[in-house]
Amino acid sequence: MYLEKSDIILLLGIDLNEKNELVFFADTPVFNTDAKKKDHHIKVTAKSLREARYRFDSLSPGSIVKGKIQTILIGKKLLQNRAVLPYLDVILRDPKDDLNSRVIFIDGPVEDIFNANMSDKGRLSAVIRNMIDTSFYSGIITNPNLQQYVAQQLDTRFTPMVPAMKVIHNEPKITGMALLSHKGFYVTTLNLSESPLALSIQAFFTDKIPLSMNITSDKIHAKKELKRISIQIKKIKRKVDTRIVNGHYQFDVQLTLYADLVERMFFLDAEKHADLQNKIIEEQLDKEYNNLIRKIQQKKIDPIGFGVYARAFKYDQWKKIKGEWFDQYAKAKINIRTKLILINTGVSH
Amino acid sequence: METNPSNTQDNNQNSNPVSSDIMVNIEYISNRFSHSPDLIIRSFQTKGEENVALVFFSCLNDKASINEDLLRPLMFHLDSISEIFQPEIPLPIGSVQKLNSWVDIEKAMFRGESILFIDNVSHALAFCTQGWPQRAIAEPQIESSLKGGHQGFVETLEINLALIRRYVTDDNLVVKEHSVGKRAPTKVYILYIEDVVNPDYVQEVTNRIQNIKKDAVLDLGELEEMIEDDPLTVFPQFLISERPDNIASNLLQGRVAILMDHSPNAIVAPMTLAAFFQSQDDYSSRWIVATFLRLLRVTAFFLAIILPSLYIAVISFHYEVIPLDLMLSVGESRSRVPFPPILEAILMEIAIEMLREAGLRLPNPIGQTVGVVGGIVVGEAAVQAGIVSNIMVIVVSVTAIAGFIIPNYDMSSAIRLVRFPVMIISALFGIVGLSVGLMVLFAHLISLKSLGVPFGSPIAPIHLIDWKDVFVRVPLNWMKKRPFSVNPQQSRRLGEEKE
Repeated sequence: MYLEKSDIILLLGIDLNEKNELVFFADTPVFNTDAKKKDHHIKVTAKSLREARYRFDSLSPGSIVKGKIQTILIGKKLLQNRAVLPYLDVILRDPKDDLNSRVIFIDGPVEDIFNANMSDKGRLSAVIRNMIDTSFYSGIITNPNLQQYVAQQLDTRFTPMVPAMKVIHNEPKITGMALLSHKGFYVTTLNLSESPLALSIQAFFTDKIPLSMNITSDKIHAKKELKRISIQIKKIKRKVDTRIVNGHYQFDVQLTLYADLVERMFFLDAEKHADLQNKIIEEQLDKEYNNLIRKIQQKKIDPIGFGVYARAFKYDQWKKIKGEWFDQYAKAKINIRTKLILINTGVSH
Repeated sequence: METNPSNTQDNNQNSNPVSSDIMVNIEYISNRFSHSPDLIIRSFQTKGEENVALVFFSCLNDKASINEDLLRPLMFHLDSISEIFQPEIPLPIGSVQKLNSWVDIEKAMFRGESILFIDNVSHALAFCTQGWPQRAIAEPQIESSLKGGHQGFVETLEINLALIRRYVTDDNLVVKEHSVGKRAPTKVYILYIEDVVNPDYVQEVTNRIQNIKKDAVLDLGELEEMIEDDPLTVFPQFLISERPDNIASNLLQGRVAILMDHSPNAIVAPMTLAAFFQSQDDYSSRWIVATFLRLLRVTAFFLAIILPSLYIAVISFHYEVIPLDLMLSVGESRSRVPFPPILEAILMEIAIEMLREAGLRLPNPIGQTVGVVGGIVVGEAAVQAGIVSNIMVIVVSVTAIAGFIIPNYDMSSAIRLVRFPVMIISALFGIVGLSVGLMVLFAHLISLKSLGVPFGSPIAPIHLIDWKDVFVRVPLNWMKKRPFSVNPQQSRRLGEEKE
């Protein structure tokens, strides 16, 4: 079958419906210029993806091709009740299939995405992919492909982190990063101001990471709504010191951030108080980092990947705790100290 | 010149010596050429009242030369005909030969010489008074030159030799004369530089030319087919060029050149595949530019062979490899086309080949019109009508342009032809078919030989030292040695000796 006679699944959705039945969604492009809609949406209930494929075939004008799935959407309800990995087995097993598909968590029913308003955006499959890709390149979220997601899910040292999307008023929106447990269930979501922080602790870096924060320090005298600073991180150096203290892991993380100051809404004479400016940002960053770490430690998940250090540097202890890393992780002491080096502070008037 | 008595039909009669009776000779000549209205037999009495007859073909002789340089002195100036038997012949003619046998006389007449029979003398004199319709030296048509000389070969062997001698003013330039064809013998020159060329090649070329058993060989292209290593392949194993500077350059690299009368071309042997991607202009352009052009030609070579096949294979089997946005636009453009990709491609390729051939056969101004009509009108209308997709039009056009970049006409035709089988195998087996097709193609290319030299040299077998002039053209100062793949006697270029 030639290109134009095939129905190429570009967007695959997996979810549970109200009756707790497995529902599969597919979006295939319509090449026929006579058709009014550019996309063909298919929804079937099936027990497995392979079975769903036969159902898709019976609903589509061409033959179904699953080698070019751009994005896999996974519904919240499914991830709250089941792990998704077994359902993706058929894609992972076939070497002709694409391991570059993006994996996205949908905060709500997947069907909402398929019903979202696309009249001012374009083809659904391309829109969703582009939304995720551009956010990834602007440093807000990570963008694991299917292979990376599977590797993260199977790894005993850390837990997966996938982009999260939600449909609000019929418009799809990236809401941050969904954190999954080691067993593959949904745990919590990092919002868009937390996820750059998580990425910067990971020293995971594409090009830049933007951070924007409220300054809580009382060294600054300004109105509360004006105490805001934004920086853009250009380079990160990370030093992690792994120790065992009282039978528990302790991680001392020294982060050196090279950043540009891009926004400061209050007045500060930076020529006279150059150190002060750095200091308040560093203090604020320490605080935010520790809040973030506390939040994920409580949930017994390790998306940052401290387990990699735990295993690499203290292997004896790692052998003792066996597969219980995530319980140990919750008890570990993590100190994050930030050093900020401002490269460029912009124009001052 | 070698004389072969079996050249003429009637051996006994032709090898007869010339009679001393002029009337017998005239009668013999008029019988031999009774069907030649252009034969002129001019009998007259010289100033000394001897009976002589001047015999020549009017179409092959220069009338002014005959009137002024022969008839006038013979009729009015020479007191006795015996004067012309003196060693210093008192006639303003370059070459005068004594001929005894009819065979030689006939050959001389066909060469365009005029023959003088003298009563009571048992031999004839042949005067060099040739003159036939000649084309002026013009700019080469197929291989146009940007910076090099703008003179191309013409249909006269001597002029062509002169053009080459102007470039290679070396006393080691050897010109060996042969003749091919039994019924209409044609002069063939083998040229080489004696202390450079590998003597095996000269021997091989000579043998092959002597072994030609044909009535007549009209053109150098025919000659090439009779002497090349493998006539069953589409790829040319010798270079045919109409540019004397190209031939001179190849002679200096240690190759053998073959010139043939009435053919405005020359053959160069042995050739390698890589040498077909070189143009004489490369050496007169700046080396960086020339290198860029070389790489462009190699790219074009591959594009011309695989682009339509790749398109067919990808559209028919492996659409997963197309980037999403391109896939959507290709799919939309394909959706109106009712044919499978292979049919669509073959349709367009045949259309473009027909356009090319039609443009070639028509006079120049009409040819251009055909190109414009075909290219724009048919292409545009075919897309509008939904017979082909616009992506296909782009693919076919790019392929056609890529095919024309190869500087040699024979090689570029071969490449254009090769892509059809590759297209068919890709339509059947996809990328696997394309890979197998290319493997077979390259296996074939490296199995070819030109005068015994591997055609793939210096790429396969590998001679890294020659790569300075294959994919790149390094500065001329660095090219101190002649190509290794030609295996010259003298590998270091003269004047480039180590101090």
